[in-house]
Amino acid sequence: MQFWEEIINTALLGTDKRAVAVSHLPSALADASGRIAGADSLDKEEQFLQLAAVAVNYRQSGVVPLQREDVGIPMAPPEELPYCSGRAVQVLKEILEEGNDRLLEFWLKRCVVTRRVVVPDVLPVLLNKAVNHAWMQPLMADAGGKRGEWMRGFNPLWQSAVASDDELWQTGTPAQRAASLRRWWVADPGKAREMLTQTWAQENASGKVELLRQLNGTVGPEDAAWLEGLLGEKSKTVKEEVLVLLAQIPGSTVVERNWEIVRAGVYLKKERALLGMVNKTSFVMEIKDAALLSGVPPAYWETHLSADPVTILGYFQKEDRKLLPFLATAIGAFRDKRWAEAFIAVGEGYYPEVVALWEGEWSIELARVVLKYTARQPYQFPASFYKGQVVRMPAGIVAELEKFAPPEPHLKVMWDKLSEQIKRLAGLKEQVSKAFN
Amino acid sequence: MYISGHYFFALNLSEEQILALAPDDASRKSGRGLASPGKWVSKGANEQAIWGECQGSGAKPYQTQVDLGNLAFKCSCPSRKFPCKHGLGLLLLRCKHPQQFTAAAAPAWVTEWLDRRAEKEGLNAAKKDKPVDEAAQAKRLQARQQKVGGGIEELRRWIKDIIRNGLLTIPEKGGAYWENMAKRMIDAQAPGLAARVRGLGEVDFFVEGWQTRFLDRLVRLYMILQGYGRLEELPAPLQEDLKSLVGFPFAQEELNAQEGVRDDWFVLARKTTEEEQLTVERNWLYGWRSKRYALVLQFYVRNQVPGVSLSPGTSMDASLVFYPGAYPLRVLVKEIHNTRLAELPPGYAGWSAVAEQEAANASIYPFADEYPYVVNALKPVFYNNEWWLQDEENRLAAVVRNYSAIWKLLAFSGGSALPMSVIGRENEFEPLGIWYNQEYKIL
Repeated sequence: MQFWEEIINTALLGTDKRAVAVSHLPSALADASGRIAGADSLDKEEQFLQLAAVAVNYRQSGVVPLQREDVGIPMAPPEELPYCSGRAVQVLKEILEEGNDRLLEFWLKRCVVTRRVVVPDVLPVLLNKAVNHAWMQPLMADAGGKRGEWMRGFNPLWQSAVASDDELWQTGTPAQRAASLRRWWVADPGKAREMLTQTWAQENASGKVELLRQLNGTVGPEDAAWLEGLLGEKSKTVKEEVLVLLAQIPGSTVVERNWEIVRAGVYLKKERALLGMVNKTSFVMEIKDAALLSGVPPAYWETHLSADPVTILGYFQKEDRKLLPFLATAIGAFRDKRWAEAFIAVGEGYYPEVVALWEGEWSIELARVVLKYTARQPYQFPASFYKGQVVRMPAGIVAELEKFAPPEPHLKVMWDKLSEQIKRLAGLKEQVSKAFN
Repeated sequence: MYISGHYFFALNLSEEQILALAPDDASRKSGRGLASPGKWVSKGANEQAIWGECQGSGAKPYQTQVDLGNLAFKCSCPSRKFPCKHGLGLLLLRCKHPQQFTAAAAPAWVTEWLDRRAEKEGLNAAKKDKPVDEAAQAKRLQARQQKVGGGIEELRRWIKDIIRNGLLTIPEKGGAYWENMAKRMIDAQAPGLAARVRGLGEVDFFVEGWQTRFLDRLVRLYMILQGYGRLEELPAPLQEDLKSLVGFPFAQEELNAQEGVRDDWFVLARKTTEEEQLTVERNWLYGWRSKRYALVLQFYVRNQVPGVSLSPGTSMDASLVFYPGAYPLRVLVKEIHNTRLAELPPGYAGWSAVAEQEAANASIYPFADEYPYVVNALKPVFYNNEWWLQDEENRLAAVVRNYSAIWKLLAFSGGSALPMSVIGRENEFEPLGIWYNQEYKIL
């Protein structure tokens, strides 16, 4: 469209600097352009505008759509699994509107477990969301179905979201590498350790710190030797991160050194009472810095005090309840599920690190322990707390919410509002379960 | 029998349509939360209204009422949002559990409100019935025409300045440059020209091809000025178009007196934009039998409920009166007889047919920025780093730049061609909706 370029070029420079070369206009416009050019009453601006008006209409009325035989798009393969129901899609939309990631995760897991795939309507929203939410990626690889796989081929962002951890580790951004290491470490710790040790020398100090932080809560005795070796690192911050990890491994030098101090200060003392008629066992706690208790693997106490976890927790409760948070920290750090159950059983309230070890949906008893504690403290446990936890609450607890209302009127008002939100979220969870049944 | 469109729609509003009335996401969420019977101390309905008492944080429940006649809300809650969450909740509850609303005599607080509304409407009607002082009206019209004439000359000088100096510096102009001239046109009582001036400033100067888009708009504006200057030489329908483009309103009474085109009108899309604190809603319709396209244009202040609530994807048996013009598109919804689920409409065979129609349109009405079309089978394809829509003859039209729903379109298509509604002109179109498994999906 040479004539249109001529018009545009003149418009860009302005009629003060340039005039339309009438010879560039199509012959069909010769008559009109001749009349416009010959109109003495028109100044050069109006002449241009009138020529442009003719040209615009000529251009628009003569459009011939581009025809290309070689342009196409591959067909998406047919789905092998059925789509989720309309009801499930409706709930999904509500969850997305709610912005509740835990409910979304629950929805996607149900979708995968029941061998369904998401409908095209919501596929782009979910693929976009998965770009920034690593936890969604493996779920979307299944729930996205064949259409999802096909769609990824068109968007580089979506492609990198499902790239293998091996690829991400080699070529990803620092954040992607850190996330892939974390997933890897959980799925195949042996291989992850091998890959990490291979590249360790090339990492800089801040990179090392970031990678070590990913191992928090996942290291075990088999990592002790490698981590002990890292205590020779030059960087102080790297060494500090190594110590944090070693403090989570029973048998590591850090833990054993701590235990040497603690065991000497905490013991059972057998005494005779009632003029020597009765044997009595007293619990002795002589440690000044109670924080040391948080570095002791809970299982150590069982051998040391020859008692089961509930009895031992009873000793500490009786001695001073302020000691229990340190034990809770230790249970969380050493991921001792047996002790977590015992801790919950003694009803000492809500300790996130302990409750986090509970697998799957909470028992009704655990839900009661948690809510009994959190309902009284609506400032510390606001709506955002329940937003994250509601997916773990059993459906039965909804009927009991009123029971946890604090006696103080102002706190009760807050709890009533929170209860409404819990009910609404629990309702969504229930709808998800029903939609996939 | 005339059935008010408002009344009909209020009774049949779907959950999605009710939620679309919400002023914001928070209201939508809260409204949903209130759509359960347990939240309402009392509730009732009759032919005119639905009402209910919702227990809030105060001792006395909030009294919420909805006038089904023209979908008006009233609530005793202190919220400034409109409609408030209680109004939305009540409508949603009615939609989900209609059996909960048994016919009942309205309590005093409802009847008083309805009576006041009826009284107000009566006053307005009486105002309309007042005899018109024709001499004064003619004088006002003459004064306005003079003002408009002055405004047009000023605008013409401004356009010529732009052309004289060239478009190269246009992208650097700030918002005030466009706004000042738009305000001058408002002062000249030419709001249609003001909107076109604002439209010039809304061209995306960061997107390739802005020069053509800008010049097209500028030239169309110039054509309007030229056409208006020679109004009497033009055919009557085009005269009406030009008056409307300048900003002279068409008398609604005259439109109302006309019979209207009765057809099954399919709602293709609804697009809303904010202009000068006004929400401008464009509803694009397609007539099954008449094969005509129509535009229901509504203006309302934020949070006000539009006169007619149309839901994309539904089809209504309705009589529409077209505003006069060379290629009439804008309509007044005169009467709605019924609604039903939409079937697949017949559309254009491909881009060649669309191009022919475009040329025919331009020959009688050269001022349009865009036209809607239904095309029988289109699929998105990626070519030259751009998305295109390909027809069955492998002809291509570009998808508008920065089109946000391209991935949704691709997900539905899966590489197959689908019947699609689009809006645009020449060789650039925006997909509005597609028929997927016989169901219309908004993009």
